[in-house]
Amino acid sequence: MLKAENLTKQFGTHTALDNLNLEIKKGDIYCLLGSNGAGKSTTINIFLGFIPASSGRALIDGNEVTVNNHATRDLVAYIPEVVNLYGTLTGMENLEFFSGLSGYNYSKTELIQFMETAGLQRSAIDKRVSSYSKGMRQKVGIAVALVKKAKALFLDEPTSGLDPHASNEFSQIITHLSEQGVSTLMATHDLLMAKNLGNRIGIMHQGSLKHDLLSQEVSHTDLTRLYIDIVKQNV
Amino acid sequence: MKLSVFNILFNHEIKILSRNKVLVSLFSLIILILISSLWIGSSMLQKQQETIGKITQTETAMTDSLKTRIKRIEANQMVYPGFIWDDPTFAYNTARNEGPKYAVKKPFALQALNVGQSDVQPFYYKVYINKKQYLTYESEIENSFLQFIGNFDFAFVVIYLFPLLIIVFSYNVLSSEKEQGTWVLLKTSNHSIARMILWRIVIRYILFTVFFWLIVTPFLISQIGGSFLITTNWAWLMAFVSLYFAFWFAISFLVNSFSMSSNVNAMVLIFIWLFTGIIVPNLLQVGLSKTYPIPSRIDMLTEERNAINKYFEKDGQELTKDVFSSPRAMIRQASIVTPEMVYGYGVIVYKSQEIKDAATAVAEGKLYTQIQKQQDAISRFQLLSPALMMQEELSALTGTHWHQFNQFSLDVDKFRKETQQFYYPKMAHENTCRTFSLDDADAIPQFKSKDYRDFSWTNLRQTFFTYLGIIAIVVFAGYRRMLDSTK
Repeated sequence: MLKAENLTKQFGTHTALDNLNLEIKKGDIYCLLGSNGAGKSTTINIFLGFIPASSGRALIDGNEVTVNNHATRDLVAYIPEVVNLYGTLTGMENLEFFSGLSGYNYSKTELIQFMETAGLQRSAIDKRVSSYSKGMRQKVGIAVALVKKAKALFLDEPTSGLDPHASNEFSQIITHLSEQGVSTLMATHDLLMAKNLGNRIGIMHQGSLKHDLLSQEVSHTDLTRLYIDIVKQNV
Repeated sequence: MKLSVFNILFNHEIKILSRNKVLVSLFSLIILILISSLWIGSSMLQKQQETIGKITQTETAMTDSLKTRIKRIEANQMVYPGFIWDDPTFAYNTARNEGPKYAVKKPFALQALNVGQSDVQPFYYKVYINKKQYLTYESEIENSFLQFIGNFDFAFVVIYLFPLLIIVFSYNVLSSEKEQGTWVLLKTSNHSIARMILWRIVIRYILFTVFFWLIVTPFLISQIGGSFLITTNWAWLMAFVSLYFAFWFAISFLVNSFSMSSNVNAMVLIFIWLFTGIIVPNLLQVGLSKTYPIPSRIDMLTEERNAINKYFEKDGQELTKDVFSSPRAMIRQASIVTPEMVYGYGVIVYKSQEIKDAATAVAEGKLYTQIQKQQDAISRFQLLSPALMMQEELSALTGTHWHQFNQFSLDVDKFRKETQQFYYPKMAHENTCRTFSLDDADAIPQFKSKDYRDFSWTNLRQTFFTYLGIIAIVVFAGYRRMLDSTK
């Protein structure tokens, strides 16, 4: 579903991404670990088409992002660390707007169902987003991904700052989407979440993928040790 | 059914704009100011109409009095019991007492929108055979700033305040998305952000303009009636105001396309407003005043007096000159006032007016040539300042342009000559006879009043399409730039 072929990104003389090769299959939840500046967000930004790669290819469902940006945008949804929405609109109105831009015209009932699937309480749906907590905003972000019927989900530090309950709720929704065949690429610093949520884990360092692991084959302790070893190299 | 992006954005914009408290408050305030300006304009119009009503009443009363007095004299075997100087059967007496008629420039209803030059230029004259228009003779137009930018009226609010409101409406269409972070979600949608921003500007323009006319039109109808709605002036006025709004939205779109912060956008737009609306017109004003200096009216008075003095001194008739300067005093000093004296004085007035007219014609020609040159230059420089262009076109469309007042003045001149031609033969041939009859009272020339709404002398179509072209270029450049900055 998602494929990076020799993906490289340079900002001036700095190499942010160095010859990355990666393949994420349908329904996979791939968690990218790494310290700040490791290249996690750069990878996601290239897949989303926000920045062009210096060389190499990023493919979504066989479509190269830079060549067929319109086709790939239909397939993806993105949930950043903080989901920013229109504060003066309600959660429902935000969802209605973004679903409209995605080319869908859902009924109010259907939109409520999406919101509920995303975990947002019914009572909050018609409140203005300016009164929402970060977790509630994340849920609207998930609902936007749901209405889009995205095949690939990109998450950048999505649970940062969320309380354990909200974080757990979030994981459940991602797992649910994965079961429906949605591929997920998530950048995170949270090792425990990566271990519990992801079925594959990559550890990046200075733009390179240092480890590509199957979650079930690595213990949390080993994962922590591998991660610390990588980070120590940086120190 | 799949909604079009336009519909989605339209609904979105209505929600976003209507819930922006600052914007709604500011918009309400400006609308209040707009309504105040409309009220001020329509009040001035009503005042002019009231004055014209009084003029008509006065004129009717004077004519009735004249006829009654002539009838009484004719019934009394031509014996006039009063002071000979007031006897209406002498043409000269009637010409200076009850005979003079008013020449009126009827205010066009749309003048309520644009005071223009209507508060510095007279809209009526009492036309005498021996006096020219008071404006030419007795006053200077020193307040040239008002001549070019106008008063606190609808035109002022539209030309100077509404661009500021448009700036507030549109300065951050792109930057706010970036600053509030919604940009990221928009970028993952399958639509060109450049196109979305363009649509949003177009939607804001439509909402702004439609709302504007929905407020202005009914209020105007309530103040001045609805007859103006069927005039081409109104259609052009709507077109120009809508074009002017489009210009500012287009400029805002272009500034947005540079993808700078909201603060920088606002500052750049305010500078453009200040430069094109205030600085350029004032620089032009100073430049044109220096290039085409307008001669003082005092010079005309001096030339006129010199000519009179020269004429009478040449003849060496000092006494006659004194009679001219202070006739009533001289005549009252005489022990007997005779019909010959009245006749003689009438001839003196006739002759001296000919001299005065000839003497001032040259200076007057210089004056109006210079004003005309200034006006022509302003028309040429309209492209430098949309505010100047709008003031010019709104003045033309509402009948308050200098050109229209000048046309009125020329018509008054013609009417004065017509009046002179009516009285002079009677004055010159009456000698001791008293020839002004009841039939003559009915035959006194009347000025044909009109509202001077005609704007065929100005090339509105060319200006309109030139600005439309400019807007198209600005939008195109902005769109190209926006495509680059939203990649």
